[in-house]
Amino acid sequence: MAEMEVSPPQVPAGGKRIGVVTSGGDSPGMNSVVRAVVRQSIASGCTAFAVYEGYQGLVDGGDMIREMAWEDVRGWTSEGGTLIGTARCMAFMERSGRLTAANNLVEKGIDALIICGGDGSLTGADRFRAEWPSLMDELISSGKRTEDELKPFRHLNIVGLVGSIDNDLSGTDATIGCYSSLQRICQSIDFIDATAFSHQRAFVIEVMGRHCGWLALMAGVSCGADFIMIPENPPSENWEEEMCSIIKKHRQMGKRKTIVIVAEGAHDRKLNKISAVMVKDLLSQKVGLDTRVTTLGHVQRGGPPCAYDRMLATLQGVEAVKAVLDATPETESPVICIVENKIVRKPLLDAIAKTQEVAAHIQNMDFEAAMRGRDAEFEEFLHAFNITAATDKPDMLLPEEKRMRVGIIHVGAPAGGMNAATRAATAYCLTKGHTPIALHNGFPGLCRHHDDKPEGSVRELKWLDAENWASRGGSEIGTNRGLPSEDFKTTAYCFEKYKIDALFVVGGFEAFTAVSELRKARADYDAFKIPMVILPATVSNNVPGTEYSIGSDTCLNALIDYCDAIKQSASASRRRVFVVETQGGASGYIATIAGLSIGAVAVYTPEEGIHLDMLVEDIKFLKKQFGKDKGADRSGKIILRNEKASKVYTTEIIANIIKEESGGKFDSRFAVPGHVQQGGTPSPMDRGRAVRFGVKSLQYLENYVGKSKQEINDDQMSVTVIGIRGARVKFSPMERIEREETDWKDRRPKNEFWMSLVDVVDTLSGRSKASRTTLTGSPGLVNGGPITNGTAK
Amino acid sequence: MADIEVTEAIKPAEGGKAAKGKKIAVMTSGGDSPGMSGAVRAVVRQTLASGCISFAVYEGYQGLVDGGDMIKKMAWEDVRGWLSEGGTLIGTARCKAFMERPGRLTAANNMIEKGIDALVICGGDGSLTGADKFRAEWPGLMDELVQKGLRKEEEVRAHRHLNIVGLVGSIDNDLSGTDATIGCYSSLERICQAIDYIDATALSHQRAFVIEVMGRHCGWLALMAGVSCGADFIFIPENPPSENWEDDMCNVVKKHREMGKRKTIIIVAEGAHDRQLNHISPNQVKDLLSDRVGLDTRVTTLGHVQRGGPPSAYDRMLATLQGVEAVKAVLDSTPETESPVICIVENKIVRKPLVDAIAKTKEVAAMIERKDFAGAMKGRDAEFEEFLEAFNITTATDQSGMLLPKEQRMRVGLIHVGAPAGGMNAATRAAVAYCLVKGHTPVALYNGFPGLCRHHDDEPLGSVRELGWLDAESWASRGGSEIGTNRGLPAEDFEKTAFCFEKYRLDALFVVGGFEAFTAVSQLRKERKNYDAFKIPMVILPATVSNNVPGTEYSIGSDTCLNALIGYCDAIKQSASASRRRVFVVETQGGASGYVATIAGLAIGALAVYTPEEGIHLNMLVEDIAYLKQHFATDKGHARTGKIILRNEKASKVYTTQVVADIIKEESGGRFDCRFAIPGHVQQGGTPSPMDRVRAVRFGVKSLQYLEKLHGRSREEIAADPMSATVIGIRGARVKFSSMERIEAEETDWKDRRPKDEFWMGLGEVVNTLSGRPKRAR
Repeated sequence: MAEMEVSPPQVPAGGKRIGVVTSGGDSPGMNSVVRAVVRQSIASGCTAFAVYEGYQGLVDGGDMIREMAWEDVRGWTSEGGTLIGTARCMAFMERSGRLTAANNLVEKGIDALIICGGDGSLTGADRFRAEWPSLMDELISSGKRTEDELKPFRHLNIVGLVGSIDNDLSGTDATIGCYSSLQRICQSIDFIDATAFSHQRAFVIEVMGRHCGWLALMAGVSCGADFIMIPENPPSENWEEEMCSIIKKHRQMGKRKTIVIVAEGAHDRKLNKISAVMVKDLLSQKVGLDTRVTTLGHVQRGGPPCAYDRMLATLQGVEAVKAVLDATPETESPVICIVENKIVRKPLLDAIAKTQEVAAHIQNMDFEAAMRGRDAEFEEFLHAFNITAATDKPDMLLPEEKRMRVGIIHVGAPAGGMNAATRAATAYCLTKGHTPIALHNGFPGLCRHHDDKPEGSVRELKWLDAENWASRGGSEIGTNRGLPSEDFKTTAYCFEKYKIDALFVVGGFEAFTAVSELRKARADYDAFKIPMVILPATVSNNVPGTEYSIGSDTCLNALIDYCDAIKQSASASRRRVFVVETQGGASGYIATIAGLSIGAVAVYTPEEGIHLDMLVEDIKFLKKQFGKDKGADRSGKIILRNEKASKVYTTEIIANIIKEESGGKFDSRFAVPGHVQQGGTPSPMDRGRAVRFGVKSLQYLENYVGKSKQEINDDQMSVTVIGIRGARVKFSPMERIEREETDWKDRRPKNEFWMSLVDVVDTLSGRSKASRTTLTGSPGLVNGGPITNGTAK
Repeated sequence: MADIEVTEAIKPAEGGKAAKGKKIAVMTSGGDSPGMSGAVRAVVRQTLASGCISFAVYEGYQGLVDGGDMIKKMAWEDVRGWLSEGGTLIGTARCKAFMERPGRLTAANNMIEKGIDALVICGGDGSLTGADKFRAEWPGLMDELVQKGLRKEEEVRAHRHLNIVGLVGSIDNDLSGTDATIGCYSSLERICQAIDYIDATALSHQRAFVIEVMGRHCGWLALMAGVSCGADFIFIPENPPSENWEDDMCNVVKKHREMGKRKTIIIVAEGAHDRQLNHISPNQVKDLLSDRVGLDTRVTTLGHVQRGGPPSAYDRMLATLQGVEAVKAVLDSTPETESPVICIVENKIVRKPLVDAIAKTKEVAAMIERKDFAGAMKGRDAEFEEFLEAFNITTATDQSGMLLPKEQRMRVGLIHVGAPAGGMNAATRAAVAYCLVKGHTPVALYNGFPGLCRHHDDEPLGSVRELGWLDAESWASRGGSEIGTNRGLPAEDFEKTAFCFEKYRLDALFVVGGFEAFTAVSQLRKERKNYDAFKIPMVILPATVSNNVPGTEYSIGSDTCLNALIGYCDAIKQSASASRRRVFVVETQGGASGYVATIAGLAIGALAVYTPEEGIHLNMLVEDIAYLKQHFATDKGHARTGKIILRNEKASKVYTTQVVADIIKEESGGRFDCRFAIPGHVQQGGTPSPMDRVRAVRFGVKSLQYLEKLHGRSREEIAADPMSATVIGIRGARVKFSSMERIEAEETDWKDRRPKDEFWMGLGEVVNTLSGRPKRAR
């Protein structure tokens, strides 16, 4: 997610004129970039230009370069592709083309360019910037422009935004669009699952990514593929029979489907190409499976951007404008990147250099270095994949006494990715020789049904059981809000009876509460002196200790689909405002992010609460809004209200008050999406993260093997919550988290990192800052005594 | 859908108790398709509900041959939640062993061993043929079993006859005799979804895409995908393109480009060939486009994605009803009734003899081999041809051959009234395309009647605009309505409405909308005697999610709604089942008609459906609560048991969704939890479903053709002719126009804004049966 410094833009007189270009391969989210750039520029008092058809537009000039107004980008966040078009153009590759382009920019008075594209077009952009001064001299020398006319255009500073679906720029975790296309891929693979399952077929799926195996890797991780082929880490020498033995073994274990994902630039250690067909022939002859090849083609590039890309695009757009505003001539031009979930600026130069360097490593067969070239996350995912897909690496088996029985339990509301995490954990255990034990139905299930005949709620997970949970939503082993404190004794008794010597908890705040109860109960029960790790999984993302808990992306996607659907009906009937109630308990994370993603008019969060004056203020803003656009198209407004924003002003009442005050000019409805926000199929991001966290957690649990109960008890770090904090994934000890970072009353972490996004929402929706603070004043009576009006006590 | 004449005729079999409960086995073989699992669920549950014993044969024929625990006894819970699973959960397999007789022998032996005396097969034509052959030689297999001493005489006596029922489950809908096979609409959905995605990127790069879809012998998929996505060109085996398809394909594409179309999509069926039967592969088409037209073209083969994924609402319903019908077919089939295949015509579920359904299918394949393409077209059902024609028209941009002479050209007013429904835009696009092809001028009246009256003369552009081809081009897959819609009625201001009709010289009106549209047209019809401007032909294309337009059993938008609702319920079910004992009361839209609620109930296997027609009574509540309690008491917390109760938004004024949920929670005594969910407007759905799109195109084209026939008559003739104000709709098995006058008088229940006796009333019964909700005497 996003985290950025809110720095006030200082604007010299007259403001900058910023142009935005999308070029190279299009990817979902580019429109949100354009929208964010246009609106942030206007909000910062600049003028915004959109260059149509990419570089082609630059060369042609004329009305390929249009000035954009506030409304022009209304509703672009939900469109796929790029509405300002893109094109490959030869002309821009010779200097003459760049000359005319420079001329056109000067003509429009554009002194800054924001380019959104792949590394190809960013290189072009940088070359364009490097030779910009010499292009100016040539314009002067060729007489097309005069000296003083070009004085203000000595420097062109550009900002790069990476928009490509195969995420191959190193230095950034995610490029705009990679997650949307990953979503396409997973969707298709899920579809193929169904049929593969029936026919016990094998599928070789080819995904995009010539130099980058990110897509293949992530698809493999998310969908639980059997094998993947990626250029950075070609399979070992004899991958043929290694792949066959793995698949053969899977089959004997009863797995009905086989999925091999091949990146289109896959090759073996000697750089000779591996195509999907080769793999198909291999499978059908050697393993005797009737195998089919599916190349997903450009589906991966299409469709609306997923919640993450909207988020990424919007914030990078905003950041790009800021980068432009406080750029001085000699600051080297930045590329906006994201590390874990910090949006940072990196110098464009060596971001590109490092990318080509990776390609070079691959060329001269130095795969080690190539792997290091990718960011850390890449390597972990690969490692995670190998583990979850590897069934018989006897050399990875731990010696007898270092094996432990890991209890896996889900607590709290179901969240997308719970199963993926469980599957990753199961696979990891079986690979290392541990025994994964599923404690079905949470703690109540454990206490009440652990000795049900025929099958208790404590079951050992076989590889096969967890195998096809990778893409299941909800939770297969059952979850609920039951806490161990309902019955500590039986819980402790069960831990001993089934000899659980490490606990892997997946869940939300209840999981957090449950584990903190277990931790506190250690004093009374030895059974709880075992290492415990919480993998935060909740839609409301209110688990302290992490800025991101899995399931929230699924929730965001579900919520966004929901709002899009609603927006359509709102815009179909024009002047209609929807007050949508989001989940999220006492934390306004979902509401804020969703507000950001769908461009909500206002977001009411529990942290701020709702007041009469705030309502009076927003209603006036709505009137002005509807007053201004006489029946123009697509103007459905959406207000997001968190379910616990306030007790008296319920969603319904707000809608009624708005309808009442609108005096008929516009209509308002309320919508309560309810549990649909828990989403169906978990999103690939959740799956990926779930697998990554799952594997990291189990690794972490391993280094408590063999410690005595007492050591474990004394070690603060034996009970941790895994999470993303700022730029890194780390384990933070529960004890400190509970004491310092947890706000127990509202069941949420103290100072939530996303609070600063609320302003972005307001800025982008034009909602004046005014309504945050309170109004004063009312007319005086006859005998003139002043009145003090105290806000709510 | 059919009035299902539920006939409970049971012919008396020989002797005692054993005969009462038949043992019915169900199996899926051949290509899997979404909805098969739902069909299995329906078969299993209907079997049990009818007091029989049901078996499931796993791995298709392979399972039959292996026997043992490949043939499992199924209980009520075993098929819980299968309705929403894609593929088939009892697996399918290709097996050579079954093709030789000894394989069939062991198979027969295994069936005897389990005591199975009826087989319901769900599969493509390949496996249905196998099934029929199996049935034909069944007695022979019996004798062979006896002499080989594998079975004793009296064991075999009871199983002289095997009767089978066929369910067609394939995605490319290639069985003639049925409009839709189970799964075809789901895979159509996959295809359209994929194409929509490609649109986005094609749009930005102005690229051309050649898309290959499945269907070796059948172009249904390609055709429908073309229709619903507004493709530029399609290649299907039944109707190969003309001789020099190369250049008139390039012209079409070149033509579209000049007109500003930024994307080009060509759909190729995987069994596409030209008139000489030589194969046309997507790469050929790609090379053609990139060389001659100079478009950078890409090829996308959707592969098996088309086969996967959860079944759409239509397939769930289809699978469930056909499953139920299949069991009924088994129960009242005697030894000499020929084995039926369950089909659907328009939306009546009928039984057709299996043998000649298959014969005709093979014959179509043969005709194609014989290059008898016209015959092949006839082999497909009528709807197939219409769609082809509709497709040509919507993509034909300048076949000047179809231009009507000047004086037969009319200005058609296009208006949307009521709540937005999926497919409105597709219908409008079809209408626009048709007009421009025929030379009519399509005039769009933006924002319904209020928009007409208040903003028709706004500057810069008013609410009355003429549509160009390009404007409507990209609306094929847009949800909501591009020209705006609302509940405004002309009754607010007849003069100005009439004034506008004359100012913009409208001589035909094409209304797309729900009951408000119905009300609006009936007001215009009644006001003819006061205003001449209203004496023009008017057609209503029913488009509403609540499907309460009298005069049609199906109004577009409801399928989109059903899909959205189902998606919504699945999401909810997941959370319910994740936390086990939780009941959800979901409020569906639909105004005063319980159509949406019932069908959705059917589609997601709801426990109970409360509709306005039945209302809600205290005893009913007391009843359901008792059932819930007993139900949660008996299953001890394993497996997914989230319950859903659907309540129509107007089922009752007092028992609101919230009150029902509270009462259930109050009375449950804590044993289970109850929540309510109000999906609200999400049911209007986002992207319209292919079915709505194709229907919208079909209805759009048919409506305009109908308006053409009425053109040229004077205003009085029109005012006098009751058929000048009609509503287009599906009634039983056919699509027909029925006059407003008659509909208003006889079939409209004005107070509740719905048609009088609604055809789907009988389905409530099916819902209850399948959910085990107890019957009580009325």
